[in-house]
Amino acid sequence: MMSLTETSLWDAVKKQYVFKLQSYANFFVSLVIVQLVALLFSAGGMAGTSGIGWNNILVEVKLYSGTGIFIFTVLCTLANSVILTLPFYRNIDFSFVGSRLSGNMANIGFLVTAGLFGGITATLGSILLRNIHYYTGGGGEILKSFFMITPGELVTGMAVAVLYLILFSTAGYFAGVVVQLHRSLLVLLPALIVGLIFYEAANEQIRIFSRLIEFFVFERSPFHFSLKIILIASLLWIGAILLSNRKEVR
Amino acid sequence: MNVIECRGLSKRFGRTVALHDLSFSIKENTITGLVGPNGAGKTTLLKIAAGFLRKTAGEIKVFSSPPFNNLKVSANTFFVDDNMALPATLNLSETLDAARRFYPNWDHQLALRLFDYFSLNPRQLHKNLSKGMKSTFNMIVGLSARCALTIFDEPTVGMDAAVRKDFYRALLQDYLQHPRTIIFSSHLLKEIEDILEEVLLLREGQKRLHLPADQLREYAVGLRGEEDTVKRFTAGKEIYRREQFGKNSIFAAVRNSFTKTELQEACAAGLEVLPVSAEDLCIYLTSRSRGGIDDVFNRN
Repeated sequence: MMSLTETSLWDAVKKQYVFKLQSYANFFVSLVIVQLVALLFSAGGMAGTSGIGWNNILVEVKLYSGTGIFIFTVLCTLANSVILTLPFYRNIDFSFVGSRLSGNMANIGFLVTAGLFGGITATLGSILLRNIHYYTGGGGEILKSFFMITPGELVTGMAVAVLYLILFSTAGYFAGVVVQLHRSLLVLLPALIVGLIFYEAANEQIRIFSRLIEFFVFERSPFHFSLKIILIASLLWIGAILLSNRKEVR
Repeated sequence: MNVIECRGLSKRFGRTVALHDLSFSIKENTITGLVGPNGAGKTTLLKIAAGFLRKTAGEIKVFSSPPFNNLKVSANTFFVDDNMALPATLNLSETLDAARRFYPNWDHQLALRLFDYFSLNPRQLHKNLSKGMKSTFNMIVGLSARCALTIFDEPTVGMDAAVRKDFYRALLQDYLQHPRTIIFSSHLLKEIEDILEEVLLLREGQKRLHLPADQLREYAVGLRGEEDTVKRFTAGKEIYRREQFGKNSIFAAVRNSFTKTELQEACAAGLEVLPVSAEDLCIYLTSRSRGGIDDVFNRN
């Protein structure tokens, strides 16, 4: 008899995680490419560009921001998290050793890694943007407020970016898992979300999405902000695990 | 010890019954052929055993545990079929390396030798392989993983005759050197019967037969000759197939419960006594009518 091998959950998760990093390495490459494209767009000046003129003086204010890079990173990460829940990618977990729990946990690991990578590179991208303007000058005067940042601010910025990316990818993954439960949800879930947004826009009293956004955006304490994200993300992860734990595969 | 034990196992997909009240057990270190016509429930049974699908009712145990979503079963079971999902980004040699990390008993030397023998290109991507090449690659991974339970579900899809023959040899060689439990589902019973020890025959989700392969070959016998004589000899016996030959001549396949003298008498009475191959027997036992396709044309 071939001896039976014992595999602990943790062992399986680690192996699947490494397998995912290796198989989806191209995600990191495409993310950087997307960020560079966003950087190019941002380098020309984006939102809030305006000109004021009086007498014979014309003042043109151009706003340069790393937000574009971050938004592109969010979209990329979100797409990636949904893709992981598609049947083909789910089935890869069952080609070799794994259970539904171990597969989900390896996916968490992968998405957290992707969030770390995306958050750090997006923040560095905005530093690169600053450098470009510092050295090229952009033909004008740089208003220094918010231009120079301390290493502490840089790290905080990175941490916030990473946490937001983890939140978005978790939400994407959860939505993907929900949609996989039944084909009709592929239409119903987006319809529900879009419908609610319009409903909220039409009714002043309804404040679901604005409350949700304020819950994170208005939080001034870094500690509480991290706690909120970790809590919500954990709930979504647990939900995704529970919803997919009885699902038939292959 | 039994590797798989099934009692009253049923599986429904909505209103379709895929398996119905199936009971059997598979002993460790045997090669079992799982045969049956299309839609008999072979793949469903194997996927339940591998822990991919949930049973609807009854009991199934693999390595003494319920297999669904079971890490222990997954770690000791390898399931090979023609739609094994593998990352589109890895080439064949990277995929082998990845698979290797999952299985402690993995034999990398064997994998590389087989790889070489079947002249697979290590730098090619799995998704770009032809159907037969894909099957060959999946088979190599399945054999090299050396899992205590190895399941091949229609593993020869797209393989040419030469590759299939090599595969059967490879499977047998590796099994003899490293005994383990192998289940092989296939339509080509004639090709694989020599390597099988047991045959489990399914029909419409139910067990029709579960026998050692050598007993299957003697299970039935065919008598051919004048209709009345055939009828006389087969009276009271279980008739599996009846075919008309010409005006007054028929062929009947019946359960082989004849004594030697009875068979000699049949010969003396002018009947031909013919062996019924395992493949033909399985076809007879699973067809809906005793006359087979002929019944479609003889509507009397």
